Amino acid sequence: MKISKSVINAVLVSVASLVMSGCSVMQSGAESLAQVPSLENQANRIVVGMGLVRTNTVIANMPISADATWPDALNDELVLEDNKQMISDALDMDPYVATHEYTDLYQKTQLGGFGLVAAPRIGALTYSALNRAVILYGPDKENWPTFFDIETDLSTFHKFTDGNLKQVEASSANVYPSVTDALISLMPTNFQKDLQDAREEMIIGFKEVAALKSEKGMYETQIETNDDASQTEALDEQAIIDLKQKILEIDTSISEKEIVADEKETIYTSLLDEATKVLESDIELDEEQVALAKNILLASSAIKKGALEAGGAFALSTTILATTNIVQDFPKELASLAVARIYIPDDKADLFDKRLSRLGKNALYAIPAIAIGTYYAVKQSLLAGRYESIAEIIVEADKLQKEAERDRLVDEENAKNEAKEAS
Amino acid sequence: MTRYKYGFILSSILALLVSGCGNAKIVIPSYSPPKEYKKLSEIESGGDMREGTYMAMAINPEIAGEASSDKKKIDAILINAIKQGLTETNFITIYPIFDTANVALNMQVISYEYEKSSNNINADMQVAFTITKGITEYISKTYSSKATRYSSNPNLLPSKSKILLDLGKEVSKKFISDITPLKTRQLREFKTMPSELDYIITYAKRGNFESAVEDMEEFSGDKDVNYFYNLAVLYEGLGAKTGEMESFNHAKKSYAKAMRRGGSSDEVIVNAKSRFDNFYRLFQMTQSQKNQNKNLSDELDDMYGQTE
Repeated sequence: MKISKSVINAVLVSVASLVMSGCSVMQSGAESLAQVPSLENQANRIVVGMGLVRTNTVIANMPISADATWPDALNDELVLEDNKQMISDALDMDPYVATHEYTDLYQKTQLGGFGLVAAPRIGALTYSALNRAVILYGPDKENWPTFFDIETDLSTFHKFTDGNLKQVEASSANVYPSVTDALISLMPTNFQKDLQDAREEMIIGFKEVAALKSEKGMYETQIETNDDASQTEALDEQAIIDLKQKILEIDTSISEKEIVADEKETIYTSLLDEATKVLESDIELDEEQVALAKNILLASSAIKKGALEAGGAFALSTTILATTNIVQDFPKELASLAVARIYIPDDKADLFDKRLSRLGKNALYAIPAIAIGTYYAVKQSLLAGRYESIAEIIVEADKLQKEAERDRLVDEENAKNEAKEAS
Repeated sequence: MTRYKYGFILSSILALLVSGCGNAKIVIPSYSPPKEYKKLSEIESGGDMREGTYMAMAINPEIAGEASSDKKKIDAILINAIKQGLTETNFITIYPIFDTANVALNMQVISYEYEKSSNNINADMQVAFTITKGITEYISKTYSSKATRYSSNPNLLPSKSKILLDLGKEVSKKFISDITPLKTRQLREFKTMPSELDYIITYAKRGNFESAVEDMEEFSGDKDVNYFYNLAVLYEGLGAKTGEMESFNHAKKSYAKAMRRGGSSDEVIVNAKSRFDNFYRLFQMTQSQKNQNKNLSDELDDMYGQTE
């Protein structure tokens, strides 16, 4: 299978982040060596990457207050460790998690891979993504959004359409509808309205580009998988030429829309820069504002980490897809699964059927998801980094102010003691 | 996406990763400029009591609108918050007798809602502020404030009085920041010092600007762009601590020397100088206005006894 140059190029940024983003992605890389070299595993990794991008969207739109505890929990490794058992229990009935241990060995004999090393039941990135679900949606998995089905509606790839978010505890401070609303509330008053408007325009711009990229990815998948299609579904030569023509047209539209989206992003970020300059000369160290800034900093760090992990997942899958025959071997993979069915216990037969059904859908949508997911991950990471640096102005000023105050008190106390001793 | 853009993205990610490795910083007091200063200058009064142009206004104790059972509380909160805001800098003096005042502040609670369920509180308030001189309205602005609280434990929710206080303070603060400078803070970053002067940064961080400036002035080594920039920051800190214009004048001269020695091509120095210049103008304006208002306060003290 050939992956378009643009997709490979687009994940280069993620490759860099793979190196830099820490242990979940590194673990995922190591885990891939123990997995069956299948399209299913790449699709699963991409789905988890999308889950991270989607939870980033949730975080950015999550109500936040100075006393909200979720931003801290998202950055706390101990919380992740505590939640692992809950996540593991929740995935007991997941079609893939519940059945892959029975099929892995046989599939490895058919598709390759390291037979002696068993893949973990649940991967590190999956824990990382679902830990966010526990924190944001609560421990009851009934409230979680659907993580493992790729959204087929092209316009909503980057966000969940289901799930019930936890109510944010905020008894002593005001609740803001989203992290961005909270950040804007910290900005100088006369910038707030313009920032809100510019941000809305920018989001519309991103959505338009992402929808086109996704549409292009769909046509590419149709062409790439045509050799594998059954006789009745196969595209004829003219249909392929038409699709290629459509891709060319979409490429032109993408370029145009990207210019517009980039302009809108530049307007928003320029306004943010302008407001930040004013903020730097006009820092208020009101306790509530400082606590809110700290929470914005934590939420933004979580978004950045999620975007880097997602980028890493997309980079890894892209590399594997581009350097192996996994897509061409998909019929062989399906055949190996059909045979491996005999190893599935009776009480898990239904789950195995669901796994096959999910694989059919996810395999089709995986490649568009890489392109759109990488696009959003990069945007999310850059914007979160900017938010971090803004919140840091207030947090740093508060820290320095408190340190100076503490030192001043120590000096005063020392001076008093010295005066006492002298007298 | 272009290769240039990748370079930009990668360098941004790297920049984000290495951020935080900067030079030492300190926080110094500052003022934020009033947004409606131009309009305010039109309501200056002067000459009819003593020499000088003072800025004073009376607060109308009758607040229009909102006849709910919380009216008395809301009125008291708004009036107190406005008084507190105005007296923070005394940029505008409060004229004590409303009936005889030339300039008056009128307030109207346009809307107020408070809803409480077992776990939620939702409240909002909208207040119009109007400054009139005689019969002419000079400034008329409306601000709103919202409060949303939630707790799974109803006992942790704040009282109604606390919510009213938060709402009243927030709308008042928005108005006050439009008409008078407010005390805020700025961050200043030090440039690298000669090693024998490294301890100066510790002095500055502990607020001992007097000794820091003294030792810097006695330094006999190479006085380059960084030296003068750091000296400017220290004088700024000293001025902010003592409120003496002389220190700010020294800071201004030191910034100018730093700029002449190549500081104009250094972003940190240019930004700091720009912020200082804004502050310097505001400080001069505020001090000058306070002195002029003092004439009025003295006159009022003579007439009515001690004022606020």
